Amino acid sequence: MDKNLSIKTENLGIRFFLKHEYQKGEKGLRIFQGRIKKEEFWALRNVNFEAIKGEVLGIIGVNGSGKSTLLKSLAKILPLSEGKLWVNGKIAPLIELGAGFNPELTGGENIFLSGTLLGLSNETIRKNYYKTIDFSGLNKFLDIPLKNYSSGMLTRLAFSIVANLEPDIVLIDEVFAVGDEPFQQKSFKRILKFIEKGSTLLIVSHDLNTIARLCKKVIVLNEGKIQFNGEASLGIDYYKNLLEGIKSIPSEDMERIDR
Amino acid sequence: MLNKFIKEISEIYSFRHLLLNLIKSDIKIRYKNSFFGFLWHLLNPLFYLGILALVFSQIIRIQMENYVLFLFAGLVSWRMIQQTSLIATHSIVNNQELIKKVHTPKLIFPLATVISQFIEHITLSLILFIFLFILKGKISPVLFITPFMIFLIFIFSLGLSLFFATIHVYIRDTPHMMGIAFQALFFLTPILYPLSFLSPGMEKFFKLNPFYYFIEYFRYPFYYAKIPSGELTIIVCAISLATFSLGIYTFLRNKESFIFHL
Repeated sequence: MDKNLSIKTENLGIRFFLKHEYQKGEKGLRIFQGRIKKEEFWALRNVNFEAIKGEVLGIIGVNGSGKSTLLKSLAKILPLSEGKLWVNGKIAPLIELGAGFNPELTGGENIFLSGTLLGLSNETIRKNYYKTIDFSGLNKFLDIPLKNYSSGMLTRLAFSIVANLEPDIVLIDEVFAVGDEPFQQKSFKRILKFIEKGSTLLIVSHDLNTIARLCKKVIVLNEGKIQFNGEASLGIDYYKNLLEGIKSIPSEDMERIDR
Repeated sequence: MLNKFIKEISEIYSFRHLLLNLIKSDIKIRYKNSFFGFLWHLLNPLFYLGILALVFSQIIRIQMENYVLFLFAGLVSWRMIQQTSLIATHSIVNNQELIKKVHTPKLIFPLATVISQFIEHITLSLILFIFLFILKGKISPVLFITPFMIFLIFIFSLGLSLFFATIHVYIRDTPHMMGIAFQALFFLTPILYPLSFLSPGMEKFFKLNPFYYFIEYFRYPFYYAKIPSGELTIIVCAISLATFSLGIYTFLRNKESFIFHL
C-alpha cells in the first residue's frame, strides 16, 4: 500500500446471515420442524476507497446503508466476508463512547479499563490520568462506581478518555451528536484538534452541516455500495438528491421499501 | 492455524495491560459488596470439605489413613478444573458488548477468567498446605513439584475453557449440560474414595476418565508424599497438551464468527 495512505479497501464486502424466525400460528408447524429460513444479506459489497493520511473523510447515507458496518469493519470488529483491507497506523474507534465501561467499578478504574481496551499501556494512562479527570470535571466522583453516575456524567467521562488520544486514524460514528450544547461544542473542538494533529478522520454523520464544515471529501453509501466518492459539497448535493428521490415515493410504497 | 495462533498470542501481548486490568477487575468485583469478602471463597470449599469428611468418615465410614487429607487434596484439584471451566464457559458471551464495540483479541476473555480463577485456587492450595501441618500429614520435598502440577492443571482447564466457551456461543445450553456432566463425574472420579475400592473391571473403566489422572497426580505431594511415577506424569502432560490443543484449535477456528452469534 502507498505510504501516503491511511486506509485502503479493495472489493470489501460484509455479509450477514439473517435468521428469520416464524411466528407461531399459521407457520407454527415450521418451528416445530426446526426450520428457520436463513437469508444472505450483504451489508456492504464491492467497496473500494482510499483515505489519504491526514484527510478528513465524511461518510453519509440513509439509515441501513452500511455506514456503521463500514466503520466496524475498518476497526476490525467485523471480519471481512470478501475483499481486502489495509490499515496503516493506530485506529481509535469512537464508535460508541464508553464501550468498555463496567458499572461495578469506579470512575477511576474505568479510565484504566477503557484506556487499555484502546490499546494503551497502564503507564500512559497513569501519565494522562489527571488531565483526563480535569477534562471531565468529575474529580469528586472518581471513587464512585459507574452504576451511580448520571448519563451526562458517563458521557463526560467517556469523552475525556478519548480526548487525550493521539491516534493515527480516528473513526467517528455519530458519537458527537449526543449531549448538551456545551458538550457538543467541546466535541467539535476536539475533532478540530484531531485534525490539527494530522490524524486521518472518518466521520459518519447525518448532520450535513458538520460534514460540510469538516470534510474535504465525502463518500455516499447506499444499500451497501459506494454511490459517490469525491468532493464534499458535490457529495452532499448528490446525497440530497438521493433523499429527494426517496421522499417522492408515496407512503404505502415507502413502507415496502423500509421493510 | 499456527499462524493464527502466533498472531493471537502476539496480540494478547500487545494487549497485556488489558489482560492485567481484566483480571484485577474480575477479582475486585467478586469480593466487592461482601462483608467477609475474600473469606467466603475460602470458607465455602472448607465447609464443603468439612461436611463431606464428616459424612464419609463417620457415617459411611470409609477406612483410610488420614481420609480428610485425601479428600481435601482431591477436592482442591477437582475444583480447580470444574469451577474454572464452568465459569470461563461464559467468558465470551458475557463480554459480548465489548466484543461488538471494540477490537480485542478474543482469547483475552477466557484467558483472564482462567487466570483469575486460578489465583483463587492457588490460595486454596496454600490452605491445603497449612492443613498438612494441622492434620500431621507427611511433609516431603515432593511439594516442590506442586507449581508444575498446577501449571499442568492450568493448561488442561484452559483447554476445556476455550473449547466450551466457543461452543457456548452457538449452543447456549452448554453450561447446563456441563453442570450435569461435572456432577456425574464428581462421583465417578475417585475423589471421595480411592481407586482401590473398585473391582478390577470397573477400575479399567474408571481409568478412561481423564480427570482421574489430574486428581491422582495432585495427591502425590499432599497425601502420598511420594514422587509420582514417570508414567503418570507423562499421561498428565499428554492429556493437558491434547486438551489445550483441541480447545485452542476450536477457539481460533471459530472466533471470527463469534460476533455474528452474539
